[in-house]
Amino acid sequence: MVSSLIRSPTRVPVVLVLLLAGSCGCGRIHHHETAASAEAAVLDRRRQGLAALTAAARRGPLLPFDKVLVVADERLVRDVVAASLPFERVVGDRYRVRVTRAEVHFEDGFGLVRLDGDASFADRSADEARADLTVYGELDVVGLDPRSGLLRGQVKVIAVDARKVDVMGVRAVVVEHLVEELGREQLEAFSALASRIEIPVRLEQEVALPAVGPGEVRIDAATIPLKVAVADVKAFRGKLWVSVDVSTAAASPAAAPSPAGSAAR
Amino acid sequence: MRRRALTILAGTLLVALALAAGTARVWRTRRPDLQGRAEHARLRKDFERLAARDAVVSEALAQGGDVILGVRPALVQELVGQVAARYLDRVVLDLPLEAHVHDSGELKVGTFLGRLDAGTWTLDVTIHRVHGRLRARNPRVAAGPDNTLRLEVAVVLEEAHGSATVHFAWESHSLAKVVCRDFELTRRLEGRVLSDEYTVTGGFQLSAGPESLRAEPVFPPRMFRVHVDLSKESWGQVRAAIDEQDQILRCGLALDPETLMAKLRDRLHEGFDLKLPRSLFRPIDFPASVRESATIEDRRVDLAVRTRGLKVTPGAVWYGADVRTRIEGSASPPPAN
Repeated sequence: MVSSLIRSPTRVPVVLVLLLAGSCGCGRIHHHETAASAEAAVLDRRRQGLAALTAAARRGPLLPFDKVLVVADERLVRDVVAASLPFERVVGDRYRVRVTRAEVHFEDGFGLVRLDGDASFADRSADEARADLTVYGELDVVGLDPRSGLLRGQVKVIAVDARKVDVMGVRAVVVEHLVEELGREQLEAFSALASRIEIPVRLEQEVALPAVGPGEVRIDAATIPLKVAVADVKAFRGKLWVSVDVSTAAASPAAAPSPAGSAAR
Repeated sequence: MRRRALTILAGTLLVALALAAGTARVWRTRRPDLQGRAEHARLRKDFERLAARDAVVSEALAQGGDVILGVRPALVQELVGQVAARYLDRVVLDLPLEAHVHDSGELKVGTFLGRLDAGTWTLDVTIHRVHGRLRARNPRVAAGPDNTLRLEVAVVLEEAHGSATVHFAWESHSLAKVVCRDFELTRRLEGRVLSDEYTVTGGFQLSAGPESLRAEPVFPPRMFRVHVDLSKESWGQVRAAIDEQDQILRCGLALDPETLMAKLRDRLHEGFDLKLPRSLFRPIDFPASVRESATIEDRRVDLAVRTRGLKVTPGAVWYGADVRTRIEGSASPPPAN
């Protein structure tokens, strides 16, 4: 039927109408669909997070606070991330992504990290093809850095929204190509943009007792090893709530320190 | 004509289908948003109601600050106890004491003339230096008023050794003077401090340190009575010196070495007061702290930390701090003219 339509002399306007509808609609739909999908993914994650929070609050104490509770404000994490901007990363060995803006929101059970910037092909000039890019990620507090004891997180990407940038009002094919390819890229590839985020809270894995003396009193240096592990992480009311388990073990002389980080997650 | 009409109809249908499909895609994308948003709003309302009833959340938010650290009192007590026990255990004391023990007494002896006031003895012992070791038993830690922790720990002073100078003088009285001369003897001897257990009581004042919660020791000065003795060899030297006087034409009539030795020993055992050095107690920084830098990927961000304060509630010790990123150059002083 379609082939016959195309072949017909009266078919030209019809085909034009179809193409017009398809190109205009698809162009707009492509953009809206991408943005809407990203928003929907974030909304889904918010709903899941809120459901989990509500269930936890109904089961008992909202926060498992047995030993130590660390509460970090979203403004602090946002400022820390923002202070590192702008930066560039090559994603999936194909795209050069430049991040110029960051937002962090600790609400609804998860830490939303939104990175805005632009992307271009890594092997071409950015002037040739560039797309606006927004990466939505979830801050995952993975534990303690074994060396520094700092709370360490990474961003798990949940959605990417790539949008065309018109150059002088002209939409180049190569840009379309870039946007499509970015849309097909695995989400995990964008995790390279924020694979290591430190929250400036340090949890030591030992209490160091400095030596005393020489003098009237002499005490050898010693350490009290601690088992420290992130037990639970929640995000709401603009804060990240990290429950940490800390337990002491037998004291050991400083000469034989405990293996640092063995207790970290 | 009929064919043309069919073609137009088919084309119109095709266009209508294409537009409908496009609309449906947009509608499909948006419809869940409306439902999802409504569900999200409902969940948010439910959660806010539950969170408002959570005591820990309310208490933590009341502290303010970009970073809030909450520590359960049980952990604070456990750590203070462990640190105190560790610090007071295996403490090596090397005290340049120069502590003095002084005593004197009169000695009466029974003679065929009745009880006779034989004379006065004087004992001066100087403990020059004591070298010993402390061991702590399990401390007891309890919450005290005004952000303090009370600590009580039994400390065992294991037997300590030291050097002492013993000066003994004898002054004969009345009839004893006929047969007994006054004498003095001084000996540099080895002494020892007898093992004993002492209860050390004090506390720790919790405060907001520069980066973390800190416990400062508060141990009021207190004297501990230590009991001393001479080594067996040293007592042997003292006894030999007294025996030397315990002879006819010396003090044989007046001196009773057994009685005198017992008195000397009793006096030394009474001991002297010792003050434990303050350096025994050290501040304790808790193992959770706010740091002045953080790393994002490979980029280091310097931070300025300002402590907000400390609040102790029955449920937790709360420490809050404001943290700001340091913008390069902003912290440097203005150039001098």
